[in-house]
Amino acid sequence: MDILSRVFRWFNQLDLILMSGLVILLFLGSVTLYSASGENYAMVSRQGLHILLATIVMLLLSQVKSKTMQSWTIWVYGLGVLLLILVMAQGHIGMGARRWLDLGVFRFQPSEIMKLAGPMMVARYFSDRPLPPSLKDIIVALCIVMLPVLLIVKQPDLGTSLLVASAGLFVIYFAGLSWKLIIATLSAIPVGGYFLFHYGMHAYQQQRVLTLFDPESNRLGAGYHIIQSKIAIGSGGVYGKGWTEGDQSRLDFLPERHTDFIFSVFGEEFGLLGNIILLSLYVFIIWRSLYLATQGKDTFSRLLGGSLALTFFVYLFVNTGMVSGILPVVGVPLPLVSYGGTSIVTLMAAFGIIMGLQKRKRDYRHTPHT
Amino acid sequence: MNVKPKSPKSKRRIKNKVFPIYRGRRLLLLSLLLAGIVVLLFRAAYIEIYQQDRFQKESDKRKIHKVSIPAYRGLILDRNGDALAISSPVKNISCNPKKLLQQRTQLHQKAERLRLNILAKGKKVSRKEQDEFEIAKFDFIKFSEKLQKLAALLAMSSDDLEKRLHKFRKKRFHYLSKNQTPEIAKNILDLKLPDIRAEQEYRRFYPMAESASHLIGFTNSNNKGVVGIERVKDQYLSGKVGKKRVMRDSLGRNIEDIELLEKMIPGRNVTLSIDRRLQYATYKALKHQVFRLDATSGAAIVLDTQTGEILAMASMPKFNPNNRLDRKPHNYRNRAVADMFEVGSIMKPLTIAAAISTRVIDPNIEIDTSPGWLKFSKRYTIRDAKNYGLMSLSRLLAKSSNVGASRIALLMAPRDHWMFLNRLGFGQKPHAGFDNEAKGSIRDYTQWSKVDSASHGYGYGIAATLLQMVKAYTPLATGGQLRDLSITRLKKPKISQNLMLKPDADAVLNMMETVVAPKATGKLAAIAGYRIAGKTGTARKLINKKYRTDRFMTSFIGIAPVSQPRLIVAVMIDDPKLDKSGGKAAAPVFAKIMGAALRILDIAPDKLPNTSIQSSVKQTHSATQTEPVL
Repeated sequence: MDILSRVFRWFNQLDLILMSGLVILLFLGSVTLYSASGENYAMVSRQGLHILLATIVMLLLSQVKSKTMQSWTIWVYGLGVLLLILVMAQGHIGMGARRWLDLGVFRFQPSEIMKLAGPMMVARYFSDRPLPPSLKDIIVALCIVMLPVLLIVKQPDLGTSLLVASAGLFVIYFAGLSWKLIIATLSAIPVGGYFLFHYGMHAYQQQRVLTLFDPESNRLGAGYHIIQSKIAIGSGGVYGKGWTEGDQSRLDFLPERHTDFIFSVFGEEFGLLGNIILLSLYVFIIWRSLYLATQGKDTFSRLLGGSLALTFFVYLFVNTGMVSGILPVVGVPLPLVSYGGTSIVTLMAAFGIIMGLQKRKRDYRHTPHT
Repeated sequence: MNVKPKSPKSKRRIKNKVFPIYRGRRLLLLSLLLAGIVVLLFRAAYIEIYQQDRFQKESDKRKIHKVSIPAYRGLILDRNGDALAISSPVKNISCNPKKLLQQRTQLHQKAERLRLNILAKGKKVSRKEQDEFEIAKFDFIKFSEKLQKLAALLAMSSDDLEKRLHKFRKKRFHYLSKNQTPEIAKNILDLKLPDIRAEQEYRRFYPMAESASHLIGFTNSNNKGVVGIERVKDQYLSGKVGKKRVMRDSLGRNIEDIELLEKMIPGRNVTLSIDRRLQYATYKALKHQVFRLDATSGAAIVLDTQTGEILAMASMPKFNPNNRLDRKPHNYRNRAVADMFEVGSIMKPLTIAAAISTRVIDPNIEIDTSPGWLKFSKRYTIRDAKNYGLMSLSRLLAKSSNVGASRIALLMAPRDHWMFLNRLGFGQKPHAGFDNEAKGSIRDYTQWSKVDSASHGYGYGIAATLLQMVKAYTPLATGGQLRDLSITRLKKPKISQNLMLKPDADAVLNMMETVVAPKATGKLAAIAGYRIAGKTGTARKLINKKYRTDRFMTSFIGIAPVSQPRLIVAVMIDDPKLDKSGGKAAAPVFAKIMGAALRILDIAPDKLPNTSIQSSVKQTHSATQTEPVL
């Protein structure tokens, strides 16, 4: 009886509208992955396992109440930072950077945890403080955000650090950062950018930024990715070339086509029409997530929910922006579509949290102990 | 959306219970979000609608290539269908030196930069930087190792490959190696170096190697015949190269054929008149003698008198067409066809034939050659070895008397003499099917002086190739029919012109038999069991406008079997350092070749002891000569 009611409750807590959007997107992603991987069944079935695992994590997290979540926050954040330091010390080297931690059974990127733990910690910090926050609170919050971000930048992993930073900053923004400060920060960005470019970036990152503005300048080198990607999307036209008919990807011209550049494959095969449908699906998911966030019953829930939903948008924007040539190539996957276990689990976990934080109307009725 | 309104400014710091969702902020964010989506959509629309054509072209440019389909080159076969030249599939390996070197330089620079960085920082270097350097170093080393493997697969040293790449560093296309086997090509492609390609080709192999090389010639690296039959029959052999559009992936591998633009038509086979067995025997005999006598060059031809087909043709110095380094003009010139020489005494039977057929002399007359010399002027005297006195025509040939030949030549009107030689093909290309046939040289009779008339009689002042001589001898072997020569197998014999009467031709042939008699000049040409007719030639070489008395062009032409001639074999050996005469240098080669040919073609002997009665009946007066000749 008890187990049955719990099982029932899982589905009760599940937001079916959001869930249906996610299911469609994941299905679309797997279909695209099949084509992008060169019709590789093994890769798609591995991705299927990732999705299964991610869904379980989502279901579990959707049961965690706001209070419980708040009490976990400090531990999760602490563990994340610890793991990041561990990775620095002896992580597995993949693709020219230390990002992976080998756990024997599987490898994962601790930086992914920070995508959740970062905004959680900031939201937790603001949850029992008067809002809008004082300057001191903002500085403390900034420190909470920047600690993991710096650790990740050092790996180096520009894409993830960008996402963790934006997730944290969204919380601060939602908490009520004063407009003056926002404007000041925004105007400081060009200046900061200049210094970042000249002193804070690796040569390969500088190269990426430079080729963004003139990808044709280095056709065989750094500009290669962007040119091939644009060719893929552009040659798709309005209706696309059809599923598994994308030549740019099929003939191996498109780099990283099952991970970061999967949007190009999608664009080539399904055309502008497909892009509109895909982006609409994303907008639908983000809109629903934001709506759920506003339904949160306490400060923590609302701040965290809003931040996670918007981070999802940043994910999307940075990825599609980079493959279509309006943003530098920083290595952010297309959320829920690109191949990769950790990314999918983290993203689904975030949706689980968003669902779990909403008000539980029926909860109050059926479970007297809360 | 049910959100609480933003708090008034005066009460900004309200403790607790205020959900920090501000409508303004939310709207701003939402509009930013929408703006972002709109930007993405516009970007996508711009690329996919506005620039679609451009990108479609770019895409096609990268993947669709027009390539040619090499045509299979036809075989060259001998008269029995054995292969003399075959094509086998090979791969040509090409690369992009610019890209290869660029990529390596980039990898090297990266590793070097990181290494310098570590050196500069000394002990403060972080583990991450160390790792980055290790990775860059590894990438660079791996790339270099691939290049080394490539060199090994191409069977060249790494240094050589390096030099090649460096030499063509500005080029985007360079053939690294041609004619690789398909297995090696596959191993090279499996290295997955950028822009290394393998294209299908056919390579020519010559199973007969040196022994038929001058005749057959060879193809160049573009599979085009450049010498010999390969050149003459190139259009016939090469077929037509096709064209197709293919789709290639980023490594340059062909993925699929899109459309056929032009159909490939394979080349046709060429069947030569050559007999492989005879060819080998001819080459072997010639080579042996040229080496033994340390001669400059040599040539030999075997002709089927009944059809005019060339059964074998060899030249020295030798060359192996399968070895590209051997391909030097000096080596590969087909000397039997291309080299003309002052023919010398092998002309004498033709002079006699001319005189008989123009009715100037009767076959049975005797010529007075005393006193052994013929003086035209202070500077010009024709001499014999000794005073032979009155001699029959057969003895004249057996002794090879210059004075006798000159006397006979002087009996003819120059016009008649020239006409006869002209009809035999002197001064004209034989058109036997070779590309580099020389036409020889003979002056117009109007310019002949008395000395010219006389010297033409014994073969001086006339230059011809061995092939022309063989052709000129055909009437003697066929009873007066001049055969058109052919290097390709004939389905039916060509119509030949009747040059002289059969009795005249037979008379000359019978005279020539004495040349091979014991103690005559051509005795080494004798073959047991067969009646042989022939003539030796030992011409002084004209070097720096002077006839040398120590250097000779030696030759022998013979016909067998005399009772029913089937074959003409001609041998020429240039400048032997030993045995400097046609009888000693060329006649033994003739005997070897003719002996082998008679045996291989299974031609019945006509001089066996039990047939002697029959043959003695046929003998003419010339054969009754009992006095041994010197």
